[in-house]
Amino acid sequence: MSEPLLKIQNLQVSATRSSAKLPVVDGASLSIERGERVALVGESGSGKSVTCFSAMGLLPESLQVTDGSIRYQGSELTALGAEKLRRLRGPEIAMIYQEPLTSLNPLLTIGAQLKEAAGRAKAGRREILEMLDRVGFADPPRILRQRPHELSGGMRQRVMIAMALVGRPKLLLADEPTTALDVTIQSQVLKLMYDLSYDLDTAVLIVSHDLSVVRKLADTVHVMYAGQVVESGPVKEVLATPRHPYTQALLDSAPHMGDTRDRLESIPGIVPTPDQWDQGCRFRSRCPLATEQCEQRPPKVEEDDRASMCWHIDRLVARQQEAAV
Amino acid sequence: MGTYIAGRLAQMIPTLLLIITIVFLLVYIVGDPVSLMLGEHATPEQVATMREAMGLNDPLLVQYFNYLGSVLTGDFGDSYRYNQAALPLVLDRIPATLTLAIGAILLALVIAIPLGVWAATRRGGVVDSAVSSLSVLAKAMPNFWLGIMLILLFAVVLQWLPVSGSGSWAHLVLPVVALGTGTAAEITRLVRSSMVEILSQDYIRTARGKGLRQRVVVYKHALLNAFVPVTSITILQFSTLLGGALITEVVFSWPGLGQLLVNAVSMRDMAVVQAAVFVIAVMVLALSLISDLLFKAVDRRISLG
Repeated sequence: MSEPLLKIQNLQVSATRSSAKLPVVDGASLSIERGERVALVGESGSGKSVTCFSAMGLLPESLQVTDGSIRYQGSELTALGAEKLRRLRGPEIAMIYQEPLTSLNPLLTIGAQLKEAAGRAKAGRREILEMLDRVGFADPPRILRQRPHELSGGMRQRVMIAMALVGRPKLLLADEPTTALDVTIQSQVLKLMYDLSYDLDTAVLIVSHDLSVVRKLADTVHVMYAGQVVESGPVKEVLATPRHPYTQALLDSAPHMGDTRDRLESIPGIVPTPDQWDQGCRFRSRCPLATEQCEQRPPKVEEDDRASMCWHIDRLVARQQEAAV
Repeated sequence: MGTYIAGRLAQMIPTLLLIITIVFLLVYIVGDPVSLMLGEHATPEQVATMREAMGLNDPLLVQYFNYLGSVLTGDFGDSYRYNQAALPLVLDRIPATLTLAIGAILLALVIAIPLGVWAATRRGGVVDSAVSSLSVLAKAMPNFWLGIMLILLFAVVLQWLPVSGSGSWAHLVLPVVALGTGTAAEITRLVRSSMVEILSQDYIRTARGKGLRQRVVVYKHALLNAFVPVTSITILQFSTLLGGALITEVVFSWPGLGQLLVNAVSMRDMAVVQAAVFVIAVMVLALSLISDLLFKAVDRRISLG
């Protein structure tokens, strides 16, 4: 099999303060094939956005990649100089962000900001207008003359999508792209991203805490917990029969259509902070299945195209079968 | 737009009226100029005749409204020292003062913008600390003291530039530096803090995410947004600078409004004092209007009206 479009292996990202270093992402691995839609899901503080930003070379100054590798089309991004990395951004790897309201320069017209992105990929006005039309604007030339404050949140996020895709990148990174939007706008934007990714053959890495977003958009999902990927696999299979107690807990805590439960489950406790991380399973303090064994480093169990890090997959499966009966 | 400007102009009227009133009362408190005008050897009869002729024996309110009436026609009275109308005397001095003030502002901007941006993009580094310390130092030096030091070094010791006076570009250098240094420090600090804040904004991350060069990100996306606060402070500084110009002009014998005003105060040439204060007030008000209009041009989100 040829090399995937993006391959992140054992990524460690740390906050380095003077001589001390505190990892916030610790051994995350995932890969994305061309045109594939991959979701990275987890609670706040699990390191999912940081993983996403490191692939873009856009980590805040306080964070640094301290170990592992990020390969894009065979070249090692962590070893690439700042200038070469900059050239990849835009035409090769583009990004959309969580806050459409603040992610556009308030003083520049939409046209000026789109032109910059298009110019990076040698695209012109025709491509810009075409892309604005594709993201659903009825009157693209008018949008070009407007400034961000004249547009709603949903419109701005569609502008961001147009700006990211106008250069036809091979990979789109989306950091919680629908979190700041109204629920009705959320599904429009997700559908739009799905359709465009399909039509333009753009791979998407979407970061979200929302399983319904993952279900709508992604083919493959990686579940992150406390800086590690604890479970990976095809979305349908992972969400139907999770192989990690954390994924199960996430599912139980989300409402779904036809829900007959009187109350939603919640996961007790909070995500351990990086200074509490050790060799053992990091979910054990909140896990209903935890035993003493969980203080040992959990094994990575792989089966077909699924993988998870847990000592007690058999017990989890038994519980699921029990519940189904 | 036209109605906005008209509205703003109308708002200036009470402010100007207040300033005229305060200056009138100050002059009234300071006492009558008659004895000064007539000299030490005037007889009491001469003083009384003069007072009567100048209307100084009228009740305060009558004097006030007479004064207001003549101010409205542009007549601030005559300077007894120069024996001519006070207002034209003051207006004549404006170009010299403006030259000095604009020169100082330009110098300040030319220094402050690159320095502030440089410090902001290397926050916490050596350059940043050096710029911060230098700007505190520059801000702490009173401009009259700096002016004297500059004269000592460049005019007396090195003899590169003239000590004082006006007439050539060389005469402009030292007063502009003396006046502009403090402003440069002020604006540098402002540019730095604005840029530090702006560079952490989401839209800067977006610009970097597009793969734009650092230069474009900093000078186009960030500096454009710093323009709004920097313009507002620069224009406010311009008003302060007019005040600083008064002292600097005296130090350098620069024939501007400040020198005229300071001399008029010490000679109790009250017609000139009143006219000069009025003109300075009008200039400051005009500057604030200009700054608002500039905002409108830069930032379309500020809707005037």
